[in-house]
Amino acid sequence: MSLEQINTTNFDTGELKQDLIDYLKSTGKFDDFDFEGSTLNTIIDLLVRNDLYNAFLANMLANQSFIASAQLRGNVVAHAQTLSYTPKSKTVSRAIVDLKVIPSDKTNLDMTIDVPINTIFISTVGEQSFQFTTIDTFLMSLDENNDYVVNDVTLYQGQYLTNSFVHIAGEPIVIPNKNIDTTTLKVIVNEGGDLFEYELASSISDLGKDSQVYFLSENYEGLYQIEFGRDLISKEPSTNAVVTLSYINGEAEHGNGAKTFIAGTTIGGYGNIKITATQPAYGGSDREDTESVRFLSTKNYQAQDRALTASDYSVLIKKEFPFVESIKVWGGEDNEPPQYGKVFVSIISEDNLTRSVKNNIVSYLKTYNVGSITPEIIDSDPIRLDLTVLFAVDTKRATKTFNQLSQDISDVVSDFSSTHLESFNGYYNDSKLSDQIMALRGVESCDITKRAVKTLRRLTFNNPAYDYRFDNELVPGTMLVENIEFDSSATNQYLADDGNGNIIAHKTTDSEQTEVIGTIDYATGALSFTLNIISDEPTFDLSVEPKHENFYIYNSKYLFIGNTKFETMELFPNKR
Amino acid sequence: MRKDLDLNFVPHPLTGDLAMKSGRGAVDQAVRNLVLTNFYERGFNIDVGSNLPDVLFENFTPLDQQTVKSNIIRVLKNFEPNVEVTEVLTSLERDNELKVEVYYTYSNDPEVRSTVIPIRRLK
Repeated sequence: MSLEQINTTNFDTGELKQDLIDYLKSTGKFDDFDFEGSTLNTIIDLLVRNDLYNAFLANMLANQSFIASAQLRGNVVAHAQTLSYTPKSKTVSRAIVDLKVIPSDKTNLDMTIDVPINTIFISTVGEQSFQFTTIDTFLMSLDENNDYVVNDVTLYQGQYLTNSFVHIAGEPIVIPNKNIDTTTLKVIVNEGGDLFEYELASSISDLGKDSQVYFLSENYEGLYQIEFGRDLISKEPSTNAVVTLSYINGEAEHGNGAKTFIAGTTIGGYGNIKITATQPAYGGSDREDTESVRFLSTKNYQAQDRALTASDYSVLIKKEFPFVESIKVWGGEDNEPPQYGKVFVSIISEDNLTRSVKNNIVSYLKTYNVGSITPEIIDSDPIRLDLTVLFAVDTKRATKTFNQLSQDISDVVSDFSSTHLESFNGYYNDSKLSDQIMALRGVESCDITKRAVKTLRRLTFNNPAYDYRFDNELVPGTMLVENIEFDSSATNQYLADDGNGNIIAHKTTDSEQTEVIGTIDYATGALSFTLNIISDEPTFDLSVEPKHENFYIYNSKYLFIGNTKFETMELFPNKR
Repeated sequence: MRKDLDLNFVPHPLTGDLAMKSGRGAVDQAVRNLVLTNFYERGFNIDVGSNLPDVLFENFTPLDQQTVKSNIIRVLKNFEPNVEVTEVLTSLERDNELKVEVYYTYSNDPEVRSTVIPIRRLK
């Protein structure tokens, strides 16, 4: 009798056991041993369990051996390390402030005073207080009023910590805090009384044996560690040199948005300190999670630390600025109108991007991109969709009232908005949403009508031209701007289109008067009009009805669902 | 004919091979194995066994006595279908000892076999 082959990698215990039994039977020596109570059966049970452990171990080992399937953070990070990718640490919120110290006695003043490292400032957002601190020394000098002033002081949220280590050449130094913001890390090496500051190495191509740089990585325990170049690719501090690390250790909550600060200590012995935030706190975000490391490390490897393609820009920005929620990059040739030699970047983040943050991003990109290409940050362009949901209820199946069902549908709509829209990747589709609504018990039919609403900022100069482009085909005769005032002596003022491509301003003085103020192209959704708006409101809503069930977005545009109205109809009203 | 390894794992005095049990001896050993197995003891086959040793940790009542009987009958019926149990006797002996006597016949063999299983707590 030929011997059976044993399949020891089977995960089904019953089949695994049967494989072993079949094998033993095929040997001819164990013909009569096949019964449940036999001793051999107990031994086979033991073998099955052992095989299963081995199969599981082999499976785990195989999984952990590849970045796509590894489960433990330490293994994902180790794979990312081979792609020269260091996971982003926690980033603490930072604010930029101007400081003014007002001495009570303005005689016999020193010419300058210092704002030392680790000067504490307190800010409150909502009901929560946050501690901010400085990591550099700033020099304040007297102004014409004999007040000490200094501008552009960067404050970091968290605790300023220093750790000192006696160095052993060739050994890494582990930083004992998981909440470190590595962008604030300073490495000072004391060799025989001489102090040297080491910089973070970003690329080894520019290094020499005397380069004073350190290499940053995350170890298996999830702690960051620094290493030096072992005198091979850069300078290695000698054994027994004292390495002092100073950094900001972040807090659990981020103080993004903090804009009013009070000093937690005196400065130069003076307590009357005026703080003006020129840049409210921004940029606080958690350390990079495992899934992000898995995703970005491979993309980062593709980008090779250079910004050539659009996706390279996305990877670089997401890597450096973790507060970015969604990002869209397009070349100038795809812009409307085309602008060659430029690359446009649009970003969605929790807080609005201020000018200085945008400048930071642009200057960061310039170190990576091709010299002749100019990056430009474009404000994201949100379009609101207002929906009217008409749904039919099967009263026999429905277990909820109209209000309860409306609430359920509202939840579905809100979930749809956050899942499929609110990013540069999503587009709106009626059927996709109505399918989700009809999955609710008792909803038999659902009809959605939508209006796209763009909130435009009122321009205050004379005869301003308003231009906007929805980039989607529109239904003629549906454009509407209400709650607007452009003639102080008139009533019933609104803007609408006439269905023939003209935008008409309507108003009533003695009688209704109309005036053509602009044009609208229904095929592209581009509209333009000139009007002096005198309303008090800084913005006004312009709404249109899209023609198709899909609403697409291009470049910096993104969608979100705003107001939703609910109406119900009875199913088969004549048959009841 | 049923064959099995001897659970005592004694070597054969002449050949030095593992000793074998066959026929009725193998069946007796199988019955004993099944009765002395606790639930969850066999990996991936949790209901093999009669849960008899667990009874030692109970205050033994007539209800437990009945449970022991039905568990033994069930395990032999399910996992040793060629054995037909004719009677199970349980008696509580001194010093927390439980004596279980199982009487059964095997594969149309008219001879009633019995195995006596005393179980006792060690402390």
